[in-house]
Amino acid sequence: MKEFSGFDVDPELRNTLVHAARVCQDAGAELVDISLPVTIGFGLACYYILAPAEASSNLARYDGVRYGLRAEGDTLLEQYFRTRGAGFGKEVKRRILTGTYVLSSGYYDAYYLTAQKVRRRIVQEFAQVFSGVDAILLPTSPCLPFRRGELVDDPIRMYLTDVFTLPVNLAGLPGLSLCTGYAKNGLPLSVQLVGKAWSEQQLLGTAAVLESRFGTPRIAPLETKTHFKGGERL
Amino acid sequence: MTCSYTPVIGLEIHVQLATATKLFCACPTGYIGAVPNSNVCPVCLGLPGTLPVPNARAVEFSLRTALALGCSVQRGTRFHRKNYFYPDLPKAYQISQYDLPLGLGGSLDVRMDGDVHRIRITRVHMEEDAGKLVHACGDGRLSGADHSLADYNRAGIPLMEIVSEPDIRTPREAREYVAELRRLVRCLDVSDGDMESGSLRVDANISVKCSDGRWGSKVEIKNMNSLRALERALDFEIVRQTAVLEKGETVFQETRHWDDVSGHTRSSRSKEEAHDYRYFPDPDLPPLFFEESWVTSIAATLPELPWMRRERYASTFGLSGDDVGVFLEDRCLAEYFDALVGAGVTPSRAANWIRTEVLRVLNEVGGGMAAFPVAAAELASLLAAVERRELSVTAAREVFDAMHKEHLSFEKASRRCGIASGNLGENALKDLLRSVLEENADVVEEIRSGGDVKGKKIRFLQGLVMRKARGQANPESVLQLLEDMLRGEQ
Repeated sequence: MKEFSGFDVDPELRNTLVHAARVCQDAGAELVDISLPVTIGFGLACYYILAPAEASSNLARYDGVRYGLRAEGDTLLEQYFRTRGAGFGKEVKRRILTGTYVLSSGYYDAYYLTAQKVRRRIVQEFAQVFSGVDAILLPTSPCLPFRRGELVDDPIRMYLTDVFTLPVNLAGLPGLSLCTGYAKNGLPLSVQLVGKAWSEQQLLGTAAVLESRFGTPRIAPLETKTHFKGGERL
Repeated sequence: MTCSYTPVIGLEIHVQLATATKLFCACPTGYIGAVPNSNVCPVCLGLPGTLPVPNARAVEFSLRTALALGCSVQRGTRFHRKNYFYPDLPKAYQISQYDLPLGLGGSLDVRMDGDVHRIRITRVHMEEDAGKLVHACGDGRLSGADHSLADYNRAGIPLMEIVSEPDIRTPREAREYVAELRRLVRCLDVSDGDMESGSLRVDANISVKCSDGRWGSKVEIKNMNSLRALERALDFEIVRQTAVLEKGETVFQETRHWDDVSGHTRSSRSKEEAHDYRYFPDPDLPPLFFEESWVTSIAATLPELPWMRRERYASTFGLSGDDVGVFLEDRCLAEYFDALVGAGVTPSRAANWIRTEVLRVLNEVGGGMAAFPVAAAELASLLAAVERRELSVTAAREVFDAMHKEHLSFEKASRRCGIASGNLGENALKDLLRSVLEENADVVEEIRSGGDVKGKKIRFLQGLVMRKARGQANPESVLQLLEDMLRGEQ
């Protein structure tokens, strides 16, 4: 894919993708170069408008009235502020604020509505590509897994790791991530397969063929063990 | 310079739809008298992970109303979320409609003193109701309450909002508009339209325009629980806003509450902060697209609408405005009337009987027309006998009482009352007359000696005969016979 060559993708993940393509070819697949400029160029931005918008509304019910945490206040407004201030984590608050902002009158057209239009373009772009191919092979993530909480103070970098997976959700397509082996540091490598709408069965079949040809060990080796001790999660 | 002031009024009416279940879940809708929070489920409580499923019947009811109001029904309609925090709103957003309501543009004609005013309808849309807060303290008032209780039985009940253009000019016109709309929803069977219990809620937007070109801002009035309250509240606001403009001051845009006891509207502080509802299409609900054939079949099966019925009763049957008014308020009553007329009863007699006898019985027994035990065909037989003069009105009432009290047919009821159908033979009648005259020799004497100038005494005798005949005599022929006999024996 043209657009992806411009991305800063981890070399080991880049290699595993090339390897996966060759494996597909060996299994009888015909490889075609595709282009998804809107999807890769705007999908992430589009998602980080739409998803927080929905989240801000979905999470509004955690107001301390009906269920969940309640931090009492002298007035109703104070109870709302305290409950929601205490109950939500940093990233959730960030998304609620973003979502509330993009839905506010005066900003709705510029953000939410525009993002919905982009989303439609993404749907169309995928549909066009799928008129010529059965499945799309692309990286799952541009980088190897990061540690829990590692990027919480750098949300843009954190969000960027979703650049290849989120558009699939926006387009309403089935996608799966397949373990193709392990990096030098022991972290799992993967590729992503995306299918046409309602092609889950075919997609899982394709993935099964690839998986058997990769001969990926089913249990993660080595380093993962340091996270477990005596069957107890640390 | 004196100015003239014109009120400009638009109404937003919320109608609770008479569906069995809520708008997005299968909970029952009967919340009046129910134990608080008994008609609730994870969906209408807004528990995380639940999804709404639209109630097709509610959509149909709204469609029916929109079509009857002449709205253009949208092929595609969708739901929006209206986001705001309030404890009676479990999800902290209300599922409503925004840019693609179910029906757009329409009108309702209001009749007043022989004139017809056309009030344009802006839109008809669906939305869910919120729960109810009970402010708990000794006297039940909000001020001084130390805590509030939330009852979610009402949350999720389907509402239909009908918004009018600001075409209404007087409080009376507003009242008539609501009354006609109430007749409509009752006639369509989509709501009981009861204002007192909140099945029909009216919010009014009112401003006053001065002839010098000044306009007062629009003021919204809430909490009017009857047609009378609506009229009074608007009257009050017109006076208030006119007085403000007369002083050269400005009318502020605000929401005011009507207080029925004091007869005032007062500013409600709760709404002063400007709300940004952050409307956006509800991602949990796909847009609805109606099949043309469904819409057509709903349009084709609309009942006779109130204004059509009014026209038919007045021009075809020549009923009085009063009679028409009674039938328009109760469709069951009107259908009963139609059945009587259909069975051959004269419209005026049918109307008269329903308004006097049937309504009297309904008032005594209660339960409404639906539970009324006398079939129209049976009452029609009774009235036919009256029309053939086989039965006096008094006897007919007696038979009618037997019919509704003991659930008897006309035949059986007449027999029970000792009245065979048909009149007494002439000989039998004459015998009866003779015995009455004998028993009342003193009265006969007075009449003969010319003591019955006003004809009261002969009517007294006529009454006695009629009573003895148990209605099986024509009162006029009895009177005739009496006169003959009195004269003959002279």
